[in-house]
Amino acid sequence: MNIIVCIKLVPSVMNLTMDQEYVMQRDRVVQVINPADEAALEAALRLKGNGSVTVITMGKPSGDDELRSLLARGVDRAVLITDKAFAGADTYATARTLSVAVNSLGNNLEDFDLILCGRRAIDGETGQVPPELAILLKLPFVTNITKINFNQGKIVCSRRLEEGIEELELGTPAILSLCEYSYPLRLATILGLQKARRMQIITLSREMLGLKKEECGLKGSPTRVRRITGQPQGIRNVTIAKNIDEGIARLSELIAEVPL
Amino acid sequence: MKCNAFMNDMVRSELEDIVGVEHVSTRESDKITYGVDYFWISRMWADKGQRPPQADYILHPGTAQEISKILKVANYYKIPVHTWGGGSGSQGGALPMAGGIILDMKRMNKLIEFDEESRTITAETGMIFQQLEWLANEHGYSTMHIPSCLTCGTIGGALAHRGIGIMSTKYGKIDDMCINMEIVLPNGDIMNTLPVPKHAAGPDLNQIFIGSEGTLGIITKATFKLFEQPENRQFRGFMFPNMTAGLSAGRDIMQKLKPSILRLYDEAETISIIKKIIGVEKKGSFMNLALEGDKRIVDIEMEIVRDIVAKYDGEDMGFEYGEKWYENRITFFYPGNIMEIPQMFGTMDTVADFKNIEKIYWAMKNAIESNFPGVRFIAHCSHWYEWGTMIYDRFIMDNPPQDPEEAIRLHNQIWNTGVRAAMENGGVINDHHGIGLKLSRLMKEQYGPAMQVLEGLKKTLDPNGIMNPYKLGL
Amino acid sequence: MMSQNSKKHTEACRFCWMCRHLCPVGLTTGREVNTPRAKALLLSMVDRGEKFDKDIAQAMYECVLCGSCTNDCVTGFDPTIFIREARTMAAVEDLLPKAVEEIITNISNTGNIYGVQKPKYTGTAAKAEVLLYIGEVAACKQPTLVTAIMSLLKKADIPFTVLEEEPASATFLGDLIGFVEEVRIQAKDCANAINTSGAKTVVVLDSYEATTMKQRYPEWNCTINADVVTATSFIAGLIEEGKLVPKKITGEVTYHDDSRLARDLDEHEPVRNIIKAMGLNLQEMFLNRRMAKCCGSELLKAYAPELAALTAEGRWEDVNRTTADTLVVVSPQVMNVMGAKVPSAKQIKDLYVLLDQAC
Repeated sequence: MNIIVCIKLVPSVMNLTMDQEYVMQRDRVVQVINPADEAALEAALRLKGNGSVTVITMGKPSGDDELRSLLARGVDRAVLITDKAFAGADTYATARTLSVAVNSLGNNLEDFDLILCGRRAIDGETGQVPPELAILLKLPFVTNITKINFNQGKIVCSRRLEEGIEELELGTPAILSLCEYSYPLRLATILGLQKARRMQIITLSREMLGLKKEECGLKGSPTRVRRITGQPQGIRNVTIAKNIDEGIARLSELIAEVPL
Repeated sequence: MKCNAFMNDMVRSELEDIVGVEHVSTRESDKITYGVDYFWISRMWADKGQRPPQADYILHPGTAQEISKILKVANYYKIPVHTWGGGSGSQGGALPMAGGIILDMKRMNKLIEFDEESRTITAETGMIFQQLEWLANEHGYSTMHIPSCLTCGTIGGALAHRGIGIMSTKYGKIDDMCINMEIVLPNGDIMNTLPVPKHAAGPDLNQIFIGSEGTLGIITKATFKLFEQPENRQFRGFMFPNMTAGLSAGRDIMQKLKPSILRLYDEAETISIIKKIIGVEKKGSFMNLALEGDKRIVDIEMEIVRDIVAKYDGEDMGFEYGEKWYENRITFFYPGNIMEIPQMFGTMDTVADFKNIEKIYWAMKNAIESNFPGVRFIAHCSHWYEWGTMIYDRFIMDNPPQDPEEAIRLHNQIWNTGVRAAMENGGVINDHHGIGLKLSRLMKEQYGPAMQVLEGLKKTLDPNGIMNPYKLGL
Repeated sequence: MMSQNSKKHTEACRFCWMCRHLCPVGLTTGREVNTPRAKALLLSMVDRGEKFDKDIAQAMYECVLCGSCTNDCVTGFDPTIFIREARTMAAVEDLLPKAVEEIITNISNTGNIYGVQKPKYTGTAAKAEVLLYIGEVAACKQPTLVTAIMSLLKKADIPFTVLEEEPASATFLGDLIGFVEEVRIQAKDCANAINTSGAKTVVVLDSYEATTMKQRYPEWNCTINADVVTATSFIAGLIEEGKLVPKKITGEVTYHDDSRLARDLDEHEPVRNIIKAMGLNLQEMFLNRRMAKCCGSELLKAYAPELAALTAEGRWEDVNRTTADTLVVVSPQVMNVMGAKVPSAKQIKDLYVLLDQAC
């Protein structure tokens, strides 16, 4: 099976550090693979059989290291779409760029059986890119997947709903978006790391994809972020602790109130 | 050292014969490591991916006798010898600029004697100072040498560059704390300074070797005073309307009392650093002071301090700031808190008498800020004497030139300008970081005809000039 | 090929001198390369084009991963992250020190660092709520410790089982080549074996292995469906519940906190409670609990015995400055490493053996 996995590098919440005043130290933020995308990747590696897994990501050139670590885990091909022109892309411009990249990778779409994505990224949290990509590529699409099997030419998958799990069957090619943590991503093997050293990361620019400037990045984005606001304090009738000690004291009071 | 073919191996065998095969290294990893100390230039150089200055042999001697033999061999072949302690010096003093031998002292780290009766402690000089302090603490005492590099540098390092700790204002500098030393002279002779320093048997030899930065010999053993841990330590923060008022108050305090800590920050540093770490949001010149000892005495001393401070319109800021500073005093030096590469920075610690100190402060500040656009100047006075104080004045440039060689030239111009402004106004080139490679070229300017005394010592003790070449102007 | 995360740490540590006074290796060798800043500096130079060679690889193995530096760092940097990753690099680049390679061969041949058939132990029942995970160091090198702890469990009327074929916990392999898939697979096998036993509580003898199971297994999706507890807190619990009632014995002892128990698991008091319950007079070393200086590890001893001898001597110096004549330990690793270097005026005793005699 030949599978494309679209991934995004996001700021790691594991590595967030606070200064003495408990303020996040932004300069220390490390980029990691979005958790739901990790699941998509692991699912792909398990499904590929004699086929291949191609990873595509759009981002800064510094994503090189992380892509190489994916090659070491069994990914056959890593594609980095990078260009200054892509900066500031909204979900639509991102999906358009990805769809053009997908088309450019094979002679036609039949070369791929499946495109897997994470269902949403932990930074933007829109969950819009996978469905947009499906529409642009005119492929069937299922969200919130927790399990995928491939059986006699058919994809059998489980989709998480608010109340239960739905079993679905569909043909290929298709796009599926996976729930985070449904497939914990394997680590790199020593052999894989050795192999990855010699592998090339494919870099695609705007020109190589044949995209016009107004089709990508901020210029190609129909939406604009006007404002980001925090949840106003007090809306849930909460008290913000002045410091950590006060918070801990309050927390122990609350715990004490819970009947055993 | 230029060597042909297998000559290097011949010398190596000879050195291995002295210290043992496992204590001689020519490993590449060692050569890189010993080429980067805390000197801004060496760090910047490494940051740019440039090969650091390299030694040919790295030795880890175990005894003064071994060092003696090493120096005899080095003299025969005329191989430079660079003594290395913690490598945490900011002046490039330990860098192997002339190639040859790095003599890492850290394997010589044994406690030799703890003498409770005389209240002294004796140890080998490769011991990291924190270890010595902990050994003292185990018995309820302290060396009271508490520099920011307490955990980084060795006993030998502190002595070699005449170091100082944050408690110096009461307990003195390292040269006040050291009782006696064992030294291996460049010719291999092992000598001791007299058992105690306060004698009338000629000049105090301790004071010739303390601060000699490895150019006159290698200090292998030293005895220090021990102090009782104070029963009571009281902090107090004061905010003065400006640096002038703060300096006057500091002077009056020093001429009446002996605080253990007395730190006065100029307006620029009060805003930039003090606010970040301690949370003081006020404008002015901040003073942090500690008095310690017997509580009855401390209480009275604090009353006197308050009287003096009031005279100069100082505002009492309570004890919390001082305690918080004390808790966080070394936090400044961890990554993310202090100036970091790629910034360019340096500390021109200048010492002078009270009559000149403020004039020097302004002269340096003006010289730096007017000649070098984009360079900030912040300062504090952190070590005080009855007759004067030192300025811990730092320059910071956020965007130095990318090219490493261009950066070095600019760095040296800034230093020349700042230090000359200090010297022209009656200041001394350095209070406690030492000279090293960084200020070596300015020693003759500082000393004038007096330099021949140091040069004479050098010529007599180290006729082949093998000891830490290019450092200390010698 | 270092991860972005590692690079953040090397870039911070390379020019920071603050924690070198705590490195148990650096303190005894006195070598500059045995400091966290040197290791970070070397790796940062590799990132800038310097060749990652066998000398640099060697330097990365002159470290016990004791976390003393990490524990000290005010700003939260962690040298063990890049040191472990550099070990992976050494494996990838075929630059492993020969002695390390031999240990890896031992592990792949026999599942343990010694390359021997691991002795078998049996519990009181084939199936029980409590599973005793003995670990390779205790099983191969400290049979008296194993006997003592089993005897204690029997005296407390705790039925327990032992895995017939106890798989490796992946701790040592993880320390040798970093956190790679090979290590995770070993961990997964171990977790599966434990889960198959149906035990509700896993009592882990070796704190190093307890740390891996408690802290790494969840990260690696190798979930153990049981409570993982250290043997020390389990035994201390039995005393607290009155299931073990030790007789008082007199004597002055000191205790060495091993690095993973004290720093990674932050567990200091259970051992002290056991010592107290036995009526022993505990003389603390000046650096104790989270500040304890590491004495070396069994793994270090396996690939660099000369270095482990030095680190053990370093810790004995601290013991020698106490008035206690006996060092009590609860770790099979500490027993082996420190036990190999006992000074003439001192003795080393296993706390479980003492407790077994007192109960």
